[in-house]
Amino acid sequence: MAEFLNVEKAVKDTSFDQDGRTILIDENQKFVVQGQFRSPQKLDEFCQSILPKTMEVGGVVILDDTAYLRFSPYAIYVVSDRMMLDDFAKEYQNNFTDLSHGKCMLIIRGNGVFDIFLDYSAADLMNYSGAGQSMVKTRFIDYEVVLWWAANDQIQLLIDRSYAQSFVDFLSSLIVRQNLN
Amino acid sequence: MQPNRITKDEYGQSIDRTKLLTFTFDGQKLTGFAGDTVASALLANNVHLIARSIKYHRPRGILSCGVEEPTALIECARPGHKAFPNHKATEVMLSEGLIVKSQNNWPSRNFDAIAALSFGSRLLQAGFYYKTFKWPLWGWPKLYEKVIRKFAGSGRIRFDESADPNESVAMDQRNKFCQILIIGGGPAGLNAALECALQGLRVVIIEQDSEFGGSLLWNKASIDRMSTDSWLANTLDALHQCSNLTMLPNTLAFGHYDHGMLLAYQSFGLDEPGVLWKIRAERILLASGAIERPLVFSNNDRPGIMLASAVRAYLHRYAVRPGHRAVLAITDEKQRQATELELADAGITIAATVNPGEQLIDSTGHRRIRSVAIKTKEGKIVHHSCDLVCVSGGWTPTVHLAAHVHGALELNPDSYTPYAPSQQGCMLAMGANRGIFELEAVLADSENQAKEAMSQIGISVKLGKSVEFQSIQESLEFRISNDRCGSAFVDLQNDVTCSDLIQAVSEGYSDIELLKRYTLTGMGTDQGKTSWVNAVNEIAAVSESPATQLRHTSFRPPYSPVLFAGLAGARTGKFMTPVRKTPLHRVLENLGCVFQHSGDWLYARHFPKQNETMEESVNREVNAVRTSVGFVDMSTLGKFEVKGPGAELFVSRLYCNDVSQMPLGKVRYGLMLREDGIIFDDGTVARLGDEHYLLTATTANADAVWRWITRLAQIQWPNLEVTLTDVSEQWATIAIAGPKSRALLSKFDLSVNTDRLNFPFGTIREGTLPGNQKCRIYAVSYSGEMCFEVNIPAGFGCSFVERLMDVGQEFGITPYGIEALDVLRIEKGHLAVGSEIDGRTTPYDLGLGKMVAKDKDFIGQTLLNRSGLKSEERLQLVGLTAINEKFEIPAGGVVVEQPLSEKSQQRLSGWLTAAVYSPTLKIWVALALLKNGQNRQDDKLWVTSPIAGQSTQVEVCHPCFFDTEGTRLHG
Repeated sequence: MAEFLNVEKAVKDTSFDQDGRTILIDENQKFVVQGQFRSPQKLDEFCQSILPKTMEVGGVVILDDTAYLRFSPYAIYVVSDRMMLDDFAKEYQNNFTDLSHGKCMLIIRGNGVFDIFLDYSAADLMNYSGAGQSMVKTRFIDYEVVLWWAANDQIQLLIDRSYAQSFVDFLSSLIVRQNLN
Repeated sequence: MQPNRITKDEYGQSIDRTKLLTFTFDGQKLTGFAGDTVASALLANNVHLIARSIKYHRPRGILSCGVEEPTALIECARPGHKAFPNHKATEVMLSEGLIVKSQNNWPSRNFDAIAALSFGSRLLQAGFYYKTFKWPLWGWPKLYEKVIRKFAGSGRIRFDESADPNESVAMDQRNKFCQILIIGGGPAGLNAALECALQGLRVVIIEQDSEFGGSLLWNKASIDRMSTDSWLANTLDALHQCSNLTMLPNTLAFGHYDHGMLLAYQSFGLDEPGVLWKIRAERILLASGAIERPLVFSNNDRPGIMLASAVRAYLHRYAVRPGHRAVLAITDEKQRQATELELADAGITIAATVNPGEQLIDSTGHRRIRSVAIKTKEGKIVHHSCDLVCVSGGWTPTVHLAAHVHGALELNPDSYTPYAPSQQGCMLAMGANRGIFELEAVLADSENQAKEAMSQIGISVKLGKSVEFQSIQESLEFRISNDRCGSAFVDLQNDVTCSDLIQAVSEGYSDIELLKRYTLTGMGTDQGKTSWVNAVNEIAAVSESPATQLRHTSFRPPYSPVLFAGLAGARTGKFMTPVRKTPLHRVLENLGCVFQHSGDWLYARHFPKQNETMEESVNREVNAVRTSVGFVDMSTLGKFEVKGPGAELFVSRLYCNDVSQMPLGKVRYGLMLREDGIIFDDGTVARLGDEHYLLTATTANADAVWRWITRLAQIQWPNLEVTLTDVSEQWATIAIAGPKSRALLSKFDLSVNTDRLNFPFGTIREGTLPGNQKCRIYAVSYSGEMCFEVNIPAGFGCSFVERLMDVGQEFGITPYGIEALDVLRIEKGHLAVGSEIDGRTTPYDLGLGKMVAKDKDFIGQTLLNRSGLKSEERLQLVGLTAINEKFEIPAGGVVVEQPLSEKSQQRLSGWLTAAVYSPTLKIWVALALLKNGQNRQDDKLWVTSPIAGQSTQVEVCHPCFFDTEGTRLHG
């Protein structure tokens, strides 16, 4: 039997071009692993071993093609173009789980996209907007998302696969309304 | 063209005279200017009779100039759109072509036939409905309600001929965060905003009016030897230059909640959807000012009787002269003098002024005020003709928002005026909200309170000396007339008169909350803004108890009406709730699936072929699974990985049955209890490694189980070395069930040996599919047939199913949905959450008592052993079959000992949890919870459904109807 498995995207790519403003919503198929630790200290030790530095909660470190997102004192996402599990020391293997198919990574690009997230996110994104990358786990309307961004015209986010298309549809409707306004 | 419009340029700062707008009122074409409200435009056109009152249909005009308006309620529509009632004429901004209609009259506002009710006003007093329409018993539903409905209510949603009846407007809902939130854009609010903004803080200031300035827009005084106009212009200029400040005009703060959260609705007129803001602030400064109180005297509701401040606002802001000959009845002397001067300047003749010691006691006129009667100090009654009466009984601080969270207000012992405490939680009150009315003192207080708020959030500022509380002495004698001969209204919106209050008190309604509900005082859109203090003073006078002992009623959001559409925001239509789609959604759609919403999920319900009914397609799907092979999407199940040295102990404590010492690759059914011994959820426990378990949970409880186990790991058992990961979304789950399922599975090039010996029932295998893609396959079954639940990474779900359909063709593979799965599990007597696992049943009730481990600790163990939970009298799971095979067992029926006749009453013996026609057994079967059911095998009972009008005789049997030995599971 020939190989038959093809990866299917969770959402359809979407773009808007209204009033001279272009906004693109693309799914970026990446490898996502979640690290879960019993104590913040253990997670600190892991960060030291890989980065090598500690990360605050809400911190983002980009190393080559890999983003490390510490979204809780106990947990971290590692988002990469390649499967990172084998790169981690054996002692951490039990802490990590592959969620590449469970989490959908979206990139939203265009002028004013940060303002949309500012208006509809339950977290105060301005509090996280410092120099460099910022991340926050929050709710966008009714959708739980992990956001990270370096500039105001590009937001990257992780969302559960099952909610992804519904989220994109809702976000699209809000973008259209903002354009109309 | 607009007879009451003043042409002098110094008047009309809020309007743009270069932009003429046309609108209609009850069909009459009128004009106004951009910046006008409907109220100012109507007054400019000399229209004073706006609506009829809610109960007596008395003529009503415009009382105020803002949110406090109790009487000028109108219906508004844009051409070609729906018309919405109950807009306050003082709040709706005029727009081109606006269609305005009066409310609550028939056939017209000038000749309202229903106004005849006012002749019977003595009969229609408080409690009239409760006392009158209670008999005969049939009278209310058949007669009274129908008649009263025709008269009751205030306005209706109407459709213009060209309006789309399905038109829906999606509003918006946004979040805003700030350090300081200021409610109210009057002098206190603006001063505080500037103070905070200059310190670099993130500040938001909201104002319900279209313009910032508050009383400075009409109260022409001076501040620091500067005119109020100049002070306002300078302050606004300075504020506009602050990039850290957000100014939200037309924004009504209507609800204050815990932890500094405030809800506010910003309106953009009728043309654009509004925005509901959820604002979270570290500190809130309440600068919402005060509302002027009307006077209570006989016939105090005639059009032309207006609040004095409103008259001044119409003059200065809109260049509108609301009358030509005025009588002034204003308690505060300074305000009286200022009003006299300003009215005279605007060309309005002052017919009379009510001086201290005198009383305004009555008025005449019909559709507009014609004259008033004043009782002099000497007791002489003097009549004055007029077309305008400016009244003011003092000022009531707007304290609703201060009371929403903490409730407690301070009360002026003389006038019962409520004041906001200096600080409650994170809200600090200032200016008029604290009873400080003098402008200079208001500004000093706002500066102090702003600095106090800033210091509380860690900003270093030098605090000023606090401003002393300056209560205005108000004369009760002057405010409420003692000589009442007609209807003296305390609540103009709800037509509550002094007589109503007197009667209510005499009937024993002494509690203020009861009085409010019995008389309707302070209800409706008014929410006591103009009525409450007057009403309480009247009650105090009648009951001869101090007003302060009466307390105040609970203030609740919303402070003023907010559109339901605003509360819904963008969550309308298909965006009402988020929708979850399984990884197989696309391919199932291609297979002709009918989907069903359950929670957020879209489930595959069934797969009808051409012209098939649901019943036919479900029966076909069930038969396919029983005779050949089918597949169902089970991706919605919860899946949780437990890893670490403490994993075995963690899992063992979690389930009531023994799941310890499972060999690798073994799967067991697991029953999870709550702490009280009741079943919480069921699922499977699979051992993937020495320190690695995979748990499943039902779809309905997936989130709850995840929350529960993370709570246990973090709080109850923090010393157990386990990590938990929710992998529900990672895996697509395809259950391949039926006698041919193993043969079908063997057609895939799996790295797993699928023969019966190597892959028996109750095991799990990890392996790879072609392309080296990981998969996990369970040999477990919910349908009662041999079944393999294939778990593959979600992104591959669709292509796997496409391949499955190709490969399965030779076996006649049939996709089936949740309906067929339900029939299969009922035939097999398997449990479902929400049906048998209903939050009340124990393992013993469901015949699973043997599963309960005796020699280990688990959650729910102690309380499960309560004698009451083991009583034979409890409801226990049984099966029921119809004695006459042709008769249906009615779903949702109850189990009784004898057939239920029309008049007989019987004790309930139990109820059905599920009932279906079994296409396998060709009879109706049901699962039921029956008292002492496990000892009632072969008993004959009745299932009856009074709703369906059906009774069917049934026989009690074991809940497993099909393959009781379980041989089919093993293939």
